[in-house]
Amino acid sequence: MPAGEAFTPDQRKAIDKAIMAAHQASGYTFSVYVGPSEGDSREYARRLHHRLAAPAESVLVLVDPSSRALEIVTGSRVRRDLDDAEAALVALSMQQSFAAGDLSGGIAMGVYQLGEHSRRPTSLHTDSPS
Amino acid sequence: MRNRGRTALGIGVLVVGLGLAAATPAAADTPTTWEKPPAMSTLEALLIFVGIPAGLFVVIALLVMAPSVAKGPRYRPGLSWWADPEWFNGPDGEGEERPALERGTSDPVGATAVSQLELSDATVHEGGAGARW
Repeated sequence: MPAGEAFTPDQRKAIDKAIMAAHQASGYTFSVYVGPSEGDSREYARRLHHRLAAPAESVLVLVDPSSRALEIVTGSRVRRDLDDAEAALVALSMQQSFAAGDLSGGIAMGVYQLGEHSRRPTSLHTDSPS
Repeated sequence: MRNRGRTALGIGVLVVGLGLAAATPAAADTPTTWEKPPAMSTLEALLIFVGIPAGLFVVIALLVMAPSVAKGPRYRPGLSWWADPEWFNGPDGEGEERPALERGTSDPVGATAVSQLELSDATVHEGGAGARW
């Protein structure tokens, strides 16, 4: 098939909206890369993650449709609120959508869930906000 | 019993045969009181009896194909990926194409100076999860 756009404007808007909502929910930055990964997908996702402005406070989602790979990389700061088990849970539900052929829907839903899971617990008993 | 069945069959054949014999070609003519329509040219006949059905085929086919054409190619698991890489909310803004990556330029730990100050525990690095489908 010829090279072209992966998503329709509506799908793109849905993904952008999910990224925004996740950011508002958690305060962290979410980034989604859709494309082929060179070499090991995990390593590639980590390299992409390092390229972000603030990797420690960012989550990178790599979706490689050609090798059917999904990687979620959480920054060291994000990881305090979003542990690997939660990320694996989100990866599982995204995997379900992808296997059913719903790429953009799976991405948007996954980013929403990541944002919800990484919501920082509000501390009610501290004198000064941390 | 057997004879009776055979008689019934014989009567049935007779009735059908009579019916067929009554439908002579003359009976298929239009009533004489009807007006004679002008003769149809071959072109006209072709247009009506071939053109209209063919047109209908085309219209129905277009109606069926239109949604998928409008949506563009759709992702199907198992087929090769066709699209350009896309990075949402990437380092150079939203929806930008992925810039060329240089191998080995990034710090393997990936923590910025600020987060290193924050994180006294060196074992807490980036995490995450992966999946295949």
